[in-house]
Amino acid sequence: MSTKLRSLAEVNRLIHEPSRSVILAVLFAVESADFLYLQTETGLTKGNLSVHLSRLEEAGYISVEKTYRGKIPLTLCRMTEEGRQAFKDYRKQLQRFVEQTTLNRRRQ
Amino acid sequence: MNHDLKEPGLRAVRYWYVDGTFELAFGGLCLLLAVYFYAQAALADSWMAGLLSGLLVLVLIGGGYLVNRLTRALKERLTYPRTGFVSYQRERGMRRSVRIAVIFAASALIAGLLVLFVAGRPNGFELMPGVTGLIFGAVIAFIGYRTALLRFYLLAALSLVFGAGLSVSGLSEGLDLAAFYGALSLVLFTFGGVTLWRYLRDNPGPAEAPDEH
Repeated sequence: MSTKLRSLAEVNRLIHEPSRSVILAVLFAVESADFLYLQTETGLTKGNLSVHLSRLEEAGYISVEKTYRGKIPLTLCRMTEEGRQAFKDYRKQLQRFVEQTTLNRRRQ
Repeated sequence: MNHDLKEPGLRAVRYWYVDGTFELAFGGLCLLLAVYFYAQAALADSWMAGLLSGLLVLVLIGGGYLVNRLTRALKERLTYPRTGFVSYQRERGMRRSVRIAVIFAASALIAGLLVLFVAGRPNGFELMPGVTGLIFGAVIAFIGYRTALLRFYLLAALSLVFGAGLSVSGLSEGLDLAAFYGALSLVLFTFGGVTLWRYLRDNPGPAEAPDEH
């Protein structure tokens, strides 16, 4: 396997799924976001978003807190330190892959 | 494979300004300042002028607090039920201290420059609307840069135009600042109102659940 392909294969696949990478990109930029905001941002159905959030929570990348704002139920999602580090690593991996691809194309 | 990972983060930062409530609340503060400077100009010969001068800091701090509370209250009622809630990271530790130090240094620099170039000149106070327009313009343009929202650049340009125009208008001291803040509040209310109208049009309120029987 070439170095280029190996670097792509090493990318964190849990994060690499487009909807999950958007969820993490949002949570990386803020302190917390609720379920409705993430749904608006990702365009996912409630069921699909719940599944993705559960997977990220199981991996320890986010924490999900069920609370109330007045009388309205609120599901707040936060990125954990582990998730923050994993997302930073993922971005670096992607950047490296893009750089390598660009470099190879120039050589050809 | 389209992995633009900066865009969702930028949209999250921009979300605070998505509904125009910031401009409406900021416009409210400018209106308060317009009334304050008008009152100061109108009562220039009265004993109350001195009292009003002392109240400026209170008006600014209280107004800033009210803007923050008003924006949050509007968002609680209008924005969060429609498109969701986001809370932003607060800087902690060293970064927070550096930020506070930079704000203090910038304020001291601006105050020093004002004393040197405005208060020290004959008729220097005529330049106050221009300087105020420049400072407000810089702050608003910075918001535009952070959020990549065009309307803030337009607001910054208008702030500069109002400031420059009123500096050469020949209006008496105090009245020129009242006119500047009045004009700015009008523009902010217009921009905020249009943005809010568009936001509410694009995001109708959540459907209410039918009553349980």
